[in-house]
Amino acid sequence: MSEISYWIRFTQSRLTRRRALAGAATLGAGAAAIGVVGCGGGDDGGGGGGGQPVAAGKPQDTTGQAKAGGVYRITQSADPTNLDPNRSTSFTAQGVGAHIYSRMLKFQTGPELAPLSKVTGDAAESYEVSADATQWTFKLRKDLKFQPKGPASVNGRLLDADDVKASYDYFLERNGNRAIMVDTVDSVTTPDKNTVVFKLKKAYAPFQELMASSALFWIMSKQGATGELDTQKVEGAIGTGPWTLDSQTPSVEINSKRNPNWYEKAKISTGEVSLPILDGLTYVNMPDYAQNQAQFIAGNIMAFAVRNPDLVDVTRQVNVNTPKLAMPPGWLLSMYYFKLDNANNPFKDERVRRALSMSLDRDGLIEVFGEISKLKAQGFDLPTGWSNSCVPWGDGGAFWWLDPKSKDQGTSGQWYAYNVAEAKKLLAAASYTGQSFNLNTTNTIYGTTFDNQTEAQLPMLSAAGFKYELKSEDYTSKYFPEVYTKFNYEHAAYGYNTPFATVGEYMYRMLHSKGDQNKSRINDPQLDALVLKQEIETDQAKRQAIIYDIQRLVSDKMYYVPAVVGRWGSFTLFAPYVRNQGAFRTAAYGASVESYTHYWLDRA
Amino acid sequence: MQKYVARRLLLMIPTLLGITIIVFMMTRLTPQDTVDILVGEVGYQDLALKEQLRKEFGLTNSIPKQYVTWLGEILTGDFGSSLYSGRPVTEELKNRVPVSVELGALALAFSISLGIPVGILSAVYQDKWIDYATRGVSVLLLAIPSFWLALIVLVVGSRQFSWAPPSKYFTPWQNLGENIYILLVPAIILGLGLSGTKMRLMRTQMLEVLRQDYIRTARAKGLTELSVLVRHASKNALIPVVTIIGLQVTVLIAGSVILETIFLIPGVGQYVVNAAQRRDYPIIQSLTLIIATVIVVSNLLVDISYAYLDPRVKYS
Repeated sequence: MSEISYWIRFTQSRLTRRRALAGAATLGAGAAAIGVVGCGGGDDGGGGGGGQPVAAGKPQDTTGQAKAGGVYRITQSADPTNLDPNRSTSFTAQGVGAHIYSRMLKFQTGPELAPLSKVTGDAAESYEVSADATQWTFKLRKDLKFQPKGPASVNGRLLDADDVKASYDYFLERNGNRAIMVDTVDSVTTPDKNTVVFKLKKAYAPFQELMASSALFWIMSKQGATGELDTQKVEGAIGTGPWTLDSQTPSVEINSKRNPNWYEKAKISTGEVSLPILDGLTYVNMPDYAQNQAQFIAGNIMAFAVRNPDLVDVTRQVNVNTPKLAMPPGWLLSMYYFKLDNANNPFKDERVRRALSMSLDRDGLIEVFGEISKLKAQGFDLPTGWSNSCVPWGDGGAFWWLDPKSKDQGTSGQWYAYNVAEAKKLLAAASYTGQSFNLNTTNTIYGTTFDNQTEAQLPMLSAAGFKYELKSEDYTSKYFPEVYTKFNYEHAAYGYNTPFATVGEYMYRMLHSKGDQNKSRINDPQLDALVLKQEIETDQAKRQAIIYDIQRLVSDKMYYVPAVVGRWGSFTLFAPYVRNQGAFRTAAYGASVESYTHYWLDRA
Repeated sequence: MQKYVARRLLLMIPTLLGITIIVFMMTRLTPQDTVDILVGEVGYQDLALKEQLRKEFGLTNSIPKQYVTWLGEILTGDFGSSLYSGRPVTEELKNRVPVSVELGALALAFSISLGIPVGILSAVYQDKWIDYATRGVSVLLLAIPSFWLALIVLVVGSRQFSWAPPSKYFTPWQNLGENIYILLVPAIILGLGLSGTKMRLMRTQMLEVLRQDYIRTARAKGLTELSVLVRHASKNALIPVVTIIGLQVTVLIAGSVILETIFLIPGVGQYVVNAAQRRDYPIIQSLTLIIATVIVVSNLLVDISYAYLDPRVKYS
């Protein structure tokens, strides 16, 4: 847990990490592009099972008509915990990092692309993968310069391989998210000033996702990485990213200016320019929702993630030309998990787990808590979806997620159906006759939506015949350190899973018998084999197929029973003159690079 | 009087020391420390990193040693740095404390200028419609939470009038007009809540004082009613009210935390809330000490002011 309020911000209001992310979850078609970036060789694979189309209409890329200039003024719910993303795993720190620093790779965005579906170059213009996927050789851009700021040793100079190596060493030394890289990477070498070689401990085909993740490895100058520059201060926060950090007034605002040295180009109305199109970004510190609403209505901020109950009133209030974009929720899995290594656990029998799944009225919960029909009648068509057993439905995971309602789910789809009678039959077949079990959960951290949905689900379990003793514990003192981290629970538990940055982490860490987040203590050799198989599959489409197989298997066994907390979309409103906000969507923390660099303001 | 003040100042030292010990212990005893929260959920099981960070932050030392080290730094004016952002606490407080003080002072001034005259009015017109109206208003002001009122002001203001308060804070030296404007609404909201108590207490005290013999004497001597009220009655009725004002400093600090967050005021409020959530020990400890000092000093000032308000009060 980064900070207590992290969960409330992440789950409840959609205000923070996804602020001003443009949104129609249109075609759900991901494009797969693995291999040598920059050679135009990516192939587009069908996305299958992606997000639902929404009523907002297909977004248009209007870059050709863009006018340079302007400052995009949006809000943040809190000060960044640190300007150095290696010193805090908080989303606020990662978000700042994304402005200033490059990654080796990033996610490509565009009107036809689902978020996080296609990797492209960032600091690296190309990479090669050895046949056994254990060696990844990255070629750095030859023209990537540091921002024009700071001492001569950094100011405007070219990035080189030593910077990357030093940054990686610093990342390993300090970053709380380093575990996945420590487990995966054996060594990093720099044969020349433009080449960085990552040698892996094992074949790991999704390594490019780790290199593109906006929550992991940020490339700084060697001066920053070694402490010569104080990267915790504005003056020392110097990178090769698209935005130069200009000033920070704590609890007031952060200002960034466009980096004129950035490599990515686009053709706008006046000819070819380097991105960003905007002159700058301003994040105004604004933790309170009512204040956000007031400022947006008054025209003082340019984007606002409106809560569904307020949609009608707020949209009535604002300019009729205010773009409204429906967005899926964040990629987050709420689930039941089971202590399968406890011999006396009634949930050891998969029929009991299936019965629990069939006792949940998922559509009913979404309808009630999301007010879907009511909003649809008022003209707001929100995307909704069911999480799969081990891959959540939400922004960022559309390419990998298998829709449990789809035919592709196969026979395992039956265990998602809301069928109390069938659930009772399963329990009877499993000789479950009402033995009481402990259900551990928490109610002090995840926000009111989670708490209310927990309360709504409990009678559903009872209706199916389950008899439980609810142990709702304080998150900080009990649930997180004991249940969540050490798996000190007896029978079943319910809560959110850690929002992993990549689907590979969902696969290995949650499902493999040696996974550190294997909360259900699964020990399934068939599943282990599939998890390892997807790790070495370099073909995106084939890897997707394996991950679909995994979801079918896990669904059939219901090793995790997914709930639907927050599995409905929301609308983000924009000032009428903001452009391109729907066409360049991304997820996680990379918005400032993958989205805002394409935004422009259509006003005199 | 001087001996009294000196004695009280000396007594402040063990009081504040006791507070520092309690706060220090309480922050260390809460589940999860700074490092647990800093590394996040993903890094929670990275025991090597956590150990490294704890060593760096001095958290592997014994509690008494940590306390003594911190106390020593405080005595030299070093309040430490945030374990999260690395920014010195002193630097942050230098910017934030004046903001909170200004907000608090404005709120207090408003509450006094509203509460006391209304209380007097209510007493003078006892059992008339003015009295009933003001008593009703004072109860309402006591009952309404300031954060609720703040949200109502924002929502109604934006929905009905497309109004929003300023979104950027300016210091008085940067722009006095904007500075007052951003503080005005939260100061009034805070002040309204505080004025309810003053109204009621002032009314009660005035009614008691107005019944005293010396007031009858003053009237018999031919003094104008205004003179009787202002020069004689109010001054004596104020003594308990001044006590309340001293106690309300604590309420003010608590109330301003919420309103600073809502109205985008970069004071101490947001700073301390974030620090508490993150277990940012240097900030929590330093701020608690400062707030405790403010409360102790304000109580002392209240006690000293009695001697001026009531000549019967003598300190030795």
